[in-house]
Amino acid sequence: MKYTKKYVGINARFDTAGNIIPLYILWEDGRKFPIDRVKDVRPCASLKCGGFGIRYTCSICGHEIYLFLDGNRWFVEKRK
Amino acid sequence: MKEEITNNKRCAYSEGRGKNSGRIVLHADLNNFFASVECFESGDPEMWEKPVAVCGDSEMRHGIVLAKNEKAKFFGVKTGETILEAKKKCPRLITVKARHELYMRYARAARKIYLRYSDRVEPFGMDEAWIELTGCPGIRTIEDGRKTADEIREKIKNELGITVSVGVSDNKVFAKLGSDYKKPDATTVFSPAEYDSVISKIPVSEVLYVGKNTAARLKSFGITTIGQTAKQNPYLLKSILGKNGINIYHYCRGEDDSQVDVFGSHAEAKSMGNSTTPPKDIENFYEAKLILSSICDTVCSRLRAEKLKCRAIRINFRDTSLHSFERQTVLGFSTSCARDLLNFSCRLLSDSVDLSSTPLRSIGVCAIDLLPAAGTAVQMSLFSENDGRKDVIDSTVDELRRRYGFSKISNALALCDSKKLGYIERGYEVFTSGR
Repeated sequence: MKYTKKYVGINARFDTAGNIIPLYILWEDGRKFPIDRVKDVRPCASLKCGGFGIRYTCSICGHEIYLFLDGNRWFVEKRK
Repeated sequence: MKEEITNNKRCAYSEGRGKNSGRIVLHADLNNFFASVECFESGDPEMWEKPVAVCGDSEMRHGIVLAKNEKAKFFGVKTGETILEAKKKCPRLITVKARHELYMRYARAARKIYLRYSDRVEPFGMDEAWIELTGCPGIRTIEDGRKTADEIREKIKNELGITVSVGVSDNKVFAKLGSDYKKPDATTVFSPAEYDSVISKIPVSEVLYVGKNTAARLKSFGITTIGQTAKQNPYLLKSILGKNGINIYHYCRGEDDSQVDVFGSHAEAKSMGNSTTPPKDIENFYEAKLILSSICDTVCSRLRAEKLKCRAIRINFRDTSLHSFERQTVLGFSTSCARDLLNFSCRLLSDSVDLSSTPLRSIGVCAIDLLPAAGTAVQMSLFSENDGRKDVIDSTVDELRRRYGFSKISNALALCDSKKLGYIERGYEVFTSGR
């Protein structure tokens, strides 16, 4: 199965320690996906679609997805 | 170093009595760097299984192979050959255009990982770096060095998606030798225990600063391995290779005591130059002068930005059969003025080559014998035309460029570039990247 980078909009909260906590993923068609929980944050490569950045392991509607902060853009791994 | 020469056929290093004993130095080399980044960024796992070459822009006549992956190497594709030659060897070769900004991002991220272990990280090109672990917490033995090297390899793989080979030794030269010894994604420890069994049998051509010509020269004397070189009389090596022979003698004996620089500190520049391959061959002196004027302008801007002057210049050029030549001359005074450099480089060029019969493919100017601009005694000349006006013009140009950008002011000669020889537009890029 092939994957591609899908850059997305993000609503996020910046806490007093300077951490970024993503709250919503904004899809291109206007849909909003609330992030229930951020389980893990670490620098990591995207092994499915290439590229690297800070990887946020997020729980959305019971599914676990990886959200990457690549410089100042965010992307998810999307099936082609 | 002369005093340190000992014609001792027994190598102290192999007996663990080297002057570096106790040091732990790593050399990390990102494997097939540009090609690996492109394969990984493609997001297609099958790309790793295909022959891939990263190439320059063929429209700008930079269409040569800059890097290739393991598969392309298998077909004999070599760095530096033209895309056409590479495709002849491997018709299914996938060529991708180089994206230097992307590679810089990966290189910076890799260095950040190295810096988690030590502040003494000395980059060697974009994809290589030495890391000094001596004195770092928890690092005492070469075995600790090996563990750290393995950890670095894992981190690079997980965080950047590419692989790195790491050499571990007690000096920079053998650490680099180690990173080249096993590829890809491997750790090699070269300690005194490995000297007789492994290191001494490695071809001397693998040693840092031993190039093709040096290796050929040594070979003509029957010297082919590191062990053989280490056993030679150093004065014989000096007579064969000049003073570099002594350095190579010490390197082969594991006697390199050069330190790893703290990250961010940079050694003083010994030369400063720029060169270009224009989209069209340079067929007459007028075209050459146009390009030289822009190159000298860039070189001198860089000199002034670093508060340096030069006392000699070197021009290098390559003809259409890819033969390279270099000519240099002493100026007789120190300068950072583009007009001075242009005059001397034009004179050197006209004395060296007849452009009507030998068109040039590329040309470059390099300021050498540098010295600080401030506090240097100036030899006045009775016939000098420099009454200070040139300096005022230069500082005004620098200030305009600082405020409005490099391309906002240039030599009027640049307006004559009707054939779009291509250097002038790249001036700013060259200026900023060369700093």
